[in-house]
Amino acid sequence: MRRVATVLTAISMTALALVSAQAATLRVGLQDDPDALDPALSGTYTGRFVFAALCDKLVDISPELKIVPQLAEAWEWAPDGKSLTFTLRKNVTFHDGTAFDAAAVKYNIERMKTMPDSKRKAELAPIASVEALAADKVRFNLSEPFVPLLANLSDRAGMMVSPKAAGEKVGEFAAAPICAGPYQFVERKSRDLIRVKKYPGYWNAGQIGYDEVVYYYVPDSTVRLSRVRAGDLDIAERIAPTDLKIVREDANLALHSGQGLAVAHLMFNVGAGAKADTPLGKNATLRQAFELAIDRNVINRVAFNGEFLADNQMIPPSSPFYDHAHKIPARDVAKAKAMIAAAGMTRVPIELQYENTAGDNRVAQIMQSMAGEAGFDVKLLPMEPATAIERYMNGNFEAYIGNWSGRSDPDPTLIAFFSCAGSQNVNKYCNKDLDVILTWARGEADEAKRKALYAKATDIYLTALSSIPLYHPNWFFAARKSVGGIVMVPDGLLRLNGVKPAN
Amino acid sequence: MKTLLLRRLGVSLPTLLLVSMMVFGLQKLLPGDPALALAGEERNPEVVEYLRQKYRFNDPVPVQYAVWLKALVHGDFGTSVRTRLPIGTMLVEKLPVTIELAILSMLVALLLGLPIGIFAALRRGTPFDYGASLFGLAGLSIPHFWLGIMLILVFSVNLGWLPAGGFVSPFESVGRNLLSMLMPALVLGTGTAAIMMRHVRSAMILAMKQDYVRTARAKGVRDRTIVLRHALPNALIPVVTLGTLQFGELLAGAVLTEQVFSIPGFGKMIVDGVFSRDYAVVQAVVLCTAAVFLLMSLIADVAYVLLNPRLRS
Repeated sequence: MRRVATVLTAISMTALALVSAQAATLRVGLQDDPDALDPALSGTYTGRFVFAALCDKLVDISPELKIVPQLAEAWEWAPDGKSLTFTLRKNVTFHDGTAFDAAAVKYNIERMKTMPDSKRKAELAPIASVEALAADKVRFNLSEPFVPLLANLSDRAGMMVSPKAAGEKVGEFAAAPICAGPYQFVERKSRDLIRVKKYPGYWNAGQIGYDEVVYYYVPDSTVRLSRVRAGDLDIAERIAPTDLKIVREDANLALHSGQGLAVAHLMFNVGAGAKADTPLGKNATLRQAFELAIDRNVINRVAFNGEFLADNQMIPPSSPFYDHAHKIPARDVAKAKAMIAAAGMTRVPIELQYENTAGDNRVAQIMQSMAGEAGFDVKLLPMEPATAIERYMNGNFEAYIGNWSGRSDPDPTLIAFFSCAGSQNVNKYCNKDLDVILTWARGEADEAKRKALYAKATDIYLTALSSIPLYHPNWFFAARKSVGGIVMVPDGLLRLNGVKPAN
Repeated sequence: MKTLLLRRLGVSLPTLLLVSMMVFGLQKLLPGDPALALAGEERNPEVVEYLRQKYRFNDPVPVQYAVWLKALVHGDFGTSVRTRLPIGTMLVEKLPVTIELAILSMLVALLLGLPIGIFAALRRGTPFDYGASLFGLAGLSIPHFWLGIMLILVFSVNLGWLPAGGFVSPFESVGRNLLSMLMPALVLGTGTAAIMMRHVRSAMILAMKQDYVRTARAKGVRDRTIVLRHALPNALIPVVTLGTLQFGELLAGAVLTEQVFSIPGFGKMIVDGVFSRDYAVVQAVVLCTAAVFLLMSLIADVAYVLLNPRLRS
């Protein structure tokens, strides 16, 4: 009998050891396979998601969208706004053991500005030169005052990679990235998993809660959720709004949600080639009528179970620069009809193009039916994404449902879509007054004054309505209750500092 | 046998070349600009132009093809433009997964399809036969996607017996590898089993009507021997054809099953490759699949000869 008891104890001890060994691994389900794991090249959300473990940035953003220290402890703008000096954190090392210092910062900024296929060039364009003043002091000299720079440095443009590794492995860096984040790269099985392990030399090592984090590629959102429910995964990102009920009702799961930065908006071609020659493209009053014909809350309710945020602005309400004076106009079909009649028309035709995804399909159909009641004949044109994007970039559309990931600062979004030469201004809207205001705002260091400028800008773009903002998606993560310390930030990235097994 | 093998190899190389040309050419007909698909959300024109130059998207298609073929002859499949990972490594990682899934599904299909088909043929018109037909109909008409999700809900979420997905390498743990492959193999296998069962049944019915069966019966040979020694080998010829074709199809990737169970195989790799216009990846996978397909048809030819002595002369 005693022997049996001993054996049983041994078995249960082994089982316990196995369980605790497993508990030190955090398993995360990602919807997309990340692209190149190099901050200079990365262009996907899931890539940034993995970088949150691997690569610390000069600065970070808080849940309230304030800039907070990360690798830089402090910073100071020159009075003329044309230079920014960072004081760097001391005793920080990259995963290869080399030191993080001012020279490394200089190397990184120059690398991202000069690498031929770097996707960070626009974000860092205002930086004319970088000077290493001391081991822990570095100055960025700007060609013009540019307040959004800090926000840009809170994302990939501010991620620091090991100069030694990047210099030695040109072209191969993405296969084994070396940064200064809490976890270091172990392996990547393409289209399957990315494994990272705790970096003991991390400057904030006390906040690391797991020995290992594994990111699995699980494309289907229902399957991702099932795997968290089965205990196969600990966290799944982007749960479909239609599945949230299951998460809320599962006693083992916690739903982590938060406002996002992204925006979905209906763009009208107002000046790009032949497709701009439509009643809606030529007449702002008709676009205003279109806005009155649709009900954003209905779109949110029907397409997303009411789980997203219906809104009429490009900037999300979580931003300190959101303009609360411009409320969503209520749906008014009679007024929309009157405006169409005043424009001398009865039926207004428009062809609506969008990427053939479940969400956009529903949104397009709902808008078609609502706008139809007011007199708009919306013809739907769903397209395979790569084809749709090419047509979008070439301005080859009458109307397009745009999905923009958003930025923590209003500048990149508003400049991209509404300045005359904006990179996303593919529908060719141009208003010189708005250009002046937006340029002024990016140099204005005083937050209150800057906010007033964005209020003016909002007034202009909401009157012209070259684009009708529709809603902001919210973030939904499902996690096992055994995972503690998850904090949602509007950029939707899972920061791992402080994430540890809950007791 | 030797001449057969040599002849088949002689045909295979030009076939592969033709396949590669077709895939290459057809991909270039796809609308959508690969450089734009790669350049990130902001699509800086400078970066787009650099990518076009770097990956030779501006060159004439025959030139691009020649460059690709030359590298391939030297054993270089190229680099995925999306992930910057070498495609050769990706193939080496994914091919064993795909082959294992195909073999296990085939095993499920054979274990279910053969006996059910044989018994349905021998007990024609009985409730067993009707039951088998029902199974066949169900196996063919239940979508893999739905069946997969149902299995996950029952065996992983509710019962907690099996992992809900993911792939464990057999080198890591054979047991966990088989557990992780069980549901996907079952989902793929039942579909193939249904087709297999229908074919075995009709081939068996035909074989049992042959003169040699009647002769054997007249000689007083036992039923079991008649079925196993005389009828079955003859009935197996169409099954071999079907089996190898189905196997080839399984190797080309089972997109939906892979997606449901997050199995990193060929299917989803091709689909994602097409969507992100990662041409080199699609070319490599299609070529690899075509090669395996040719190998399978060679195996089928050898099997015919082994099963049918009349072909041996």
